[in-house]
Amino acid sequence: MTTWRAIAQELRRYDSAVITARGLDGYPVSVRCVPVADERSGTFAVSFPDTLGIESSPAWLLCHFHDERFWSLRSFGARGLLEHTDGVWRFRPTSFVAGMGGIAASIRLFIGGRRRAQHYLAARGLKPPAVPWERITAIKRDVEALHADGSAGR
Amino acid sequence: MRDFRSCELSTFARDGTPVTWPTMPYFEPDRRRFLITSSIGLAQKAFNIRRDPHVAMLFSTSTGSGLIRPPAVLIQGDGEVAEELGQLDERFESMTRLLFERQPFGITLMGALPAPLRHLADWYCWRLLIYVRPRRIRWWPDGDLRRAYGEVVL
Repeated sequence: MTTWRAIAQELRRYDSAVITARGLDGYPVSVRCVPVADERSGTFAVSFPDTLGIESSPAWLLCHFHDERFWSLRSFGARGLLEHTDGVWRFRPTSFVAGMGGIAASIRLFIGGRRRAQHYLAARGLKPPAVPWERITAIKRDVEALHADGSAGR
Repeated sequence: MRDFRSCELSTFARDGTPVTWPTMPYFEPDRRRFLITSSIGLAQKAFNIRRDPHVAMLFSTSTGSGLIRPPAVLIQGDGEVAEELGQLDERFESMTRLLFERQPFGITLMGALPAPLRHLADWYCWRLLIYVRPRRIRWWPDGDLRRAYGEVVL
């Protein structure tokens, strides 16, 4: 499957996407848009307000979702190039980047994250900090009690 | 923005490509900055910021916030990563409480982790502190990018 096709397929699961490019002032510029797939050119047309000061440059496309309870997280990203042709901004993807969502992604996150964390500490000669699980558990109980009476999360 | 559950944080990779992923921001109004934390096992955004501090935060996903037709807000600013890992001090407790309040299923998962296995999840609690000081704020009423945006340069 081509990168373009993989992204087009995943995009169907989302209402919109975030496209990011480098602004003329050196800061990233992100906007939410609804990409329009164009298989013939291998690109996605995206909307960028003309006044934001961006140029054709490396770019990133992100789709993500969470529900009302900040759960059911899923996402993916794509590297690519932002091009301006015939008055239209187009994102030309070069690689698909898996994000959150599903058992496989969770296992990958857990195993990879743990390995990288150990490497981070070892590379800096740091001892693994103690995690105050008892304090965290106490906060958890407090919040659960608030959830029970309906006053949490506001 | 305090009510948004997530924002889209953009940093720059080594090759200059912007990289955008959702994250949970924590606003510190008294210090006029945002705080974002990241496990050292998921530290790429922190590595990117140490190399290039230009970042952007887009607030465009209002799911779960309770807000009705909020503006889309793009904050461009300078990121800084603290050298020391975060400790479970008063501020960290406040963030942990906020996360538990907003993500009730996360509490359930933590509760399901038996004490003898908690050390496997320590890596997720070893957090880097990332501060973002806004330099330019743009906002689009009702999140409609076809409309003129407001802008403040700080």
